[in-house]
Amino acid sequence: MTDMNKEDKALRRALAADKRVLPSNFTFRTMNRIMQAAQLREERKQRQFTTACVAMALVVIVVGIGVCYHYLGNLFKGLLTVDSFVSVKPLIGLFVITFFYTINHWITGVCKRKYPHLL
Amino acid sequence: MKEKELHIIKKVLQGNTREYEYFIDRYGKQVFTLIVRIVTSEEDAEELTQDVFMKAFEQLKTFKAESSFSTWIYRIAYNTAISATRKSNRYSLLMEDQYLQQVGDEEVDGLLDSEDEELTDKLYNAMQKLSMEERTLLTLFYYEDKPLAEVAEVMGLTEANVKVRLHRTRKKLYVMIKNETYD
Repeated sequence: MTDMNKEDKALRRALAADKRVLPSNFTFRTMNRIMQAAQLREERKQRQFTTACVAMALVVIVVGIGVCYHYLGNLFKGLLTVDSFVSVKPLIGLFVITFFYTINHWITGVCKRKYPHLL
Repeated sequence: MKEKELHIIKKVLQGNTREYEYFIDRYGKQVFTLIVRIVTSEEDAEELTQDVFMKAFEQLKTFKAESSFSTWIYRIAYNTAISATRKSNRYSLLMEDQYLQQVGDEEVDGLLDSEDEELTDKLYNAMQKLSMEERTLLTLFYYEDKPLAEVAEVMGLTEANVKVRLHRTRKKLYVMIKNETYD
């Protein structure tokens, strides 16, 4: 087998004879296309984030209502009895409400910082 | 250079899209040169070159810096051009291996290293009859002066395979010139 690093001058000349070149505004046109694609991608990302935030908020609300009903339902039913006031269940309920309130506050904060224009 | 390019890639991924212009300015001409030799039509090549930079931009986060950016974009360019050309099912001249084996290396070396200016046009025409893989090999190795290892990486071949194919392609060109089957 021959040495591939040799000159092969005629072959190089023939390859260089092809004078076709890119038009001068190629970079400008390509960058326009890329900027448009980047903008679309950003908009899609923001839509996905908003949808995720809404879904998360709904889950938190539904779970919160469920938990409150589970722990505090009997409390409201038996508000008239003295025993219910000394029960520990309301304390758990209050803890759960505080917990979800904190999560909600945190998510709102993140949204405000990262995507203020969406709120 | 590699560090500078990695820094630009990081900035583009952080949302500074304008920085991507550097890669189009730096590699646009080279990518076009490779594609135009594969697809032959100048208009198609320009369109495909744009597609290559779009693809590279969209896949930029998958760039692992295991190879240089140039090798990576050449690979995308090669695959894009090959896919586009396969659809058009372009004709290329086939030659039996046994026939090529009869050709001596010294004769091939003598012809392809010749200073004869008239040979340039003949070789240019003969190259149009080669397959797209063969034209890619010649462009990357002789025109872009890429080392064998990089040519192999771009084309998804082994280095030994690239050597064998280059050797065959040179012989094929020699046969076409001698038999005047390049027009």
